[in-house]
Amino acid sequence: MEKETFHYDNGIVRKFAFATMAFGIIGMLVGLTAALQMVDPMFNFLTEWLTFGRIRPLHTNAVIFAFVGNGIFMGVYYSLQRLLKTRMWSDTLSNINFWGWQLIILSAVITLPMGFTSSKEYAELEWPIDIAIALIWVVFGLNMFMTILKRRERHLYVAIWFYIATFVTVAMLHIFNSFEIPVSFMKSYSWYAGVQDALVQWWYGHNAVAFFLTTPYLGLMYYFIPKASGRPVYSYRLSIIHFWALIFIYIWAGPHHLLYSSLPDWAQTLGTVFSLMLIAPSWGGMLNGLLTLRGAWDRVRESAVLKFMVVAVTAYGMSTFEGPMLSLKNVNAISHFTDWTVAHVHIGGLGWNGFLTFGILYYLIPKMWNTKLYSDKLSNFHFWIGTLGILFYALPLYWAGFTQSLMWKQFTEEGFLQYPNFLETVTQIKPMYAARAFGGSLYITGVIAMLYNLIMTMKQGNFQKEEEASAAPLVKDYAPHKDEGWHRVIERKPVQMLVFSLIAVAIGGVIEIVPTMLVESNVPTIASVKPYTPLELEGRDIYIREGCNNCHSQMVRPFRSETERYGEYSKAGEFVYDHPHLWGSKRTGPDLHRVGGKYSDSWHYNHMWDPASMSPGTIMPSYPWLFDSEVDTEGTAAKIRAMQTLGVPYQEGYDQIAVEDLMVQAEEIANGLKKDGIEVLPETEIVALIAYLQRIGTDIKVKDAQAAMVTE
Amino acid sequence: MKTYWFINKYKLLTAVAVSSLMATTANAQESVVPVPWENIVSADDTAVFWVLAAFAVLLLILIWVVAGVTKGLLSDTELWKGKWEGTAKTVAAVVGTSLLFSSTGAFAQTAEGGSPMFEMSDGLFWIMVIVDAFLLLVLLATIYNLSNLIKSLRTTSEEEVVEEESVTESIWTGSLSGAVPIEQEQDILMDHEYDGIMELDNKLPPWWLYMFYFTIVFGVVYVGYYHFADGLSQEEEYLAEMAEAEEQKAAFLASSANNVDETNATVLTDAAALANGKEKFESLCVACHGPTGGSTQNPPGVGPNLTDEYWMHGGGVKNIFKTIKYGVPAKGMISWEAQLSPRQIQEVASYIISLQGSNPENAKEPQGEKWTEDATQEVAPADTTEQAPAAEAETADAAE
Repeated sequence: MEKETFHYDNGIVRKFAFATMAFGIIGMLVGLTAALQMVDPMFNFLTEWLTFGRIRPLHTNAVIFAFVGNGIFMGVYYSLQRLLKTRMWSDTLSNINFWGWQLIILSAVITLPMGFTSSKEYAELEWPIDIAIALIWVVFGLNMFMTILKRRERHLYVAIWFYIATFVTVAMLHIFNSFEIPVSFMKSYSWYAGVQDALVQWWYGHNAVAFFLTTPYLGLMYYFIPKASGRPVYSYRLSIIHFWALIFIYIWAGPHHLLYSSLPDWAQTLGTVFSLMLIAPSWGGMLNGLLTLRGAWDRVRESAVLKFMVVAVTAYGMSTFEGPMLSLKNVNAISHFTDWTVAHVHIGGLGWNGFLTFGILYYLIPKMWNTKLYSDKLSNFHFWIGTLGILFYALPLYWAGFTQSLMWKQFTEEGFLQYPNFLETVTQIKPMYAARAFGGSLYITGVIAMLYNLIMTMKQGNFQKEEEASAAPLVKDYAPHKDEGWHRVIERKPVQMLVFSLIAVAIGGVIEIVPTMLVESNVPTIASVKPYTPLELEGRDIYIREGCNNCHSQMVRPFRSETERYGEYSKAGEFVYDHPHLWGSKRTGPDLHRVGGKYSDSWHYNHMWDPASMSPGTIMPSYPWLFDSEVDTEGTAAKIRAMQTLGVPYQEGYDQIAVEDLMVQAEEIANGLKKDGIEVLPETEIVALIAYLQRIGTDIKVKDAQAAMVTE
Repeated sequence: MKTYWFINKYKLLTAVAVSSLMATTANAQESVVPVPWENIVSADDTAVFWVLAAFAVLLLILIWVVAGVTKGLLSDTELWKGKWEGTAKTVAAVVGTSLLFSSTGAFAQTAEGGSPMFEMSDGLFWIMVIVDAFLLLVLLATIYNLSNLIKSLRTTSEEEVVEEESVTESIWTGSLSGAVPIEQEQDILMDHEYDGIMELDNKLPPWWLYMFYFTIVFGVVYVGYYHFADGLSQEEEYLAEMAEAEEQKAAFLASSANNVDETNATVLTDAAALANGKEKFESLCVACHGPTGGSTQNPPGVGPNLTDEYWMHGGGVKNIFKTIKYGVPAKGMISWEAQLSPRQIQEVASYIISLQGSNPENAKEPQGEKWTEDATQEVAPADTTEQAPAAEAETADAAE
């Protein structure tokens, strides 16, 4: 058949490349600010917009969805056209994808510092933005799929398998995790409560790592490593096995974020064993990447592109080994809630995602601008300072994690905690936080060098927006090889590929989530657990807005060192009205699940005004604005109604009298504070927050807890 | 004293991390902390020793193998003519040293292993770690030598290059990865290409495949153990941990000066006890009661003035002991029973009594009732009696 001539659209790739570079540097600078705040909270410059609780989600969203997200689109739009020998199906959709995604990022940059957050990790954006994400993601998927359907290459290359799995799985995760009931324009409550919410959240959260940070990047690896090295992919059958094993197993691993929590034991066990089984499928990807370079190692020495990619794939291998180790419950008992986890994700983030993106940029920009890289020296500098940056970032945090966990668990001979004051364990690791910030700035220095290098490269070259190519269209009556493998058949049937991927990723989620929702014995009810009062509910929303859950967990694990420090360990039945759950994943400060009634109202009042007055040397910022702003009681009734819809048993018509109740409780607290010589208006937010803090974890007495335990 | 098995593993891990970090961050480590490199092993932790010893032996074997190969290559004199003689001598010297070292190392191992009576100590632990680290360095050096040697051999002539490469290639490919050598990869090149990308069809690396199988078997066994056999659930684990702690604590309390409670506490007056009390006071109590113990009038301190004669929950060492021990949660005074030993509570109470009449500046106004020490005074005035039994019951429950 005669060849057809067509053009690849490089314009859209260029747009995403610019966005990747811009949001890379922005996301990392926000991260650096957050890192500095952990050394000294003054780096929030005393504004509510920049407190750690608000910019930590900004950092994670920026680097995951803005930097890596744009990186995915950049790589996919470039490689997809070439692997299918066709232009993207619709330039309009490509552009809607681009501008829509940037608008979403912009709205995140505005709303997160303002405190609009759902509190669910890596899914903090509020409901209108959630809808926009779903729409734009579908635009991307549609454009990709239509491009696949009009391809000139009969079989789909392994990179595209990964793109397809990424598309369906992210869509599924995002939609199910974002079930929420809107209360107002920028406020919603999660559909799920407590244990269920936590399970869905980490099913999503873990697989955001799996299907946003991993599978699309594996796809990119499968395109760019062979292209940049000129070597054939090491093993086709390894690709098949590790692809299907990876997507099938990954989805089960979420509960390893909830080990020793109130999640039922059986779900925790599934999380652990599937995490262990993930080592080989993950390493399959690493092996196929590294062994593809067999016979090209001399070129690795000279090419910055390949060097970045080798370190990226190696970092991928390291963190996918570490992850399963952290999923073993006795290791997790030490590592969880500490900086060990933070170090672990940054090996993946800085090493795998960061370095692979840099490698791709160094490859793409000179190619699309028809020139050579402006400075090889500078790219080498970037490589080395970036590698050093990763080491200086991760090693201190590993040590900080070990040290702090050790201090949390240390008992004296008398049977007391050696370090009963949580703060001691924080001040101890402050130097490590400083070292981490130093490591981060080294890494950013490298990125700045890259930006300069790439801009100079663009300047000296000529951008080719339309790249000509030619290929023969597919023939209608295709005769397959006689001895072709079973997988070859699926490779030329994209719809099957899509459906099989969806089935593979749906199984694990269904088996873990559905029973937790439906089988009552998984969340034993505790009669004394009652819904929050309206004031407590408002206080809880302030807690969410300020992002307290970024540093404080609400999950006392069943360890002696935790029940001695905090009180009775947390029970599943205590969280049934928690829409959303606020278990947290990191203890920069102490756990708060038993903080209710532990301190006086005046202690909390003084502590929120100036934490250092109650805890000298603390790295918690102060929250002076809570003392000026008033609780917006106009929305209270709607909140109560929303909770009723979600099944929280407020009596019929309670929304009408909720504000009255709220004021009564607020005045009680204000009067109590007056006795301690503190004058405060009952309407202020601090009063609501105190009400919530004093309520947390007080619904059960020790006896109830034991009764609940016996019935389990 | 029995400990959970992972505790030592975890200390071990810490130690390994520390040894790699020590050089860069040693200065940041204050002496207040449990220094991670101390108390790593207990005397009966011989398992740690054997793991380290086994690692050392493994390293020795590897060194022996690598050095042997190098020596084998060196002995082929045909390859070594003229300009290579210098290199050969250096390499031979290093190899010789490493062989010598490995033999003495092996001797040391045998000697140590031969004596059945030894106690594990931190010192021995670190010696072993250093020995292992050194062996690792030697191994790396010999590997480096070997690779240099092979490199220089390659450049001697085209033919030999091919020969050497296939030697190294076959070690790499053979049983380890199951890969087809690069020279023969045409045989397994698949008949398709995408944008110039070709694919080989190498076998799955056997070690990778077996690792996959192993993790699957592990998963099945894990589920079986924890859900169908005698693996403990997390609640059971917790109860076991608490029971064990309770035993230890009881044993300790029975045998020490801590046999003191609110019924028999006396004021301590010796300087050491008061100094201890002061230290605890300054780290734990100042937040609410101020550094002087007088709280503050302006701005109003959280806790009451402890330096005057007025007491909200009764003065005198026994009442103060009780207030510290159980706290008065309704008033914001937390219970310190879980953080201070009875002896320490006694010390803090004695220190507080020593502050009587110190009249610090800006002290808070008096609260509660005037207290006069009366020899016949019974402990527990009205407002604390209600508190104490409840608190006691609760802590007793928590301990169960």
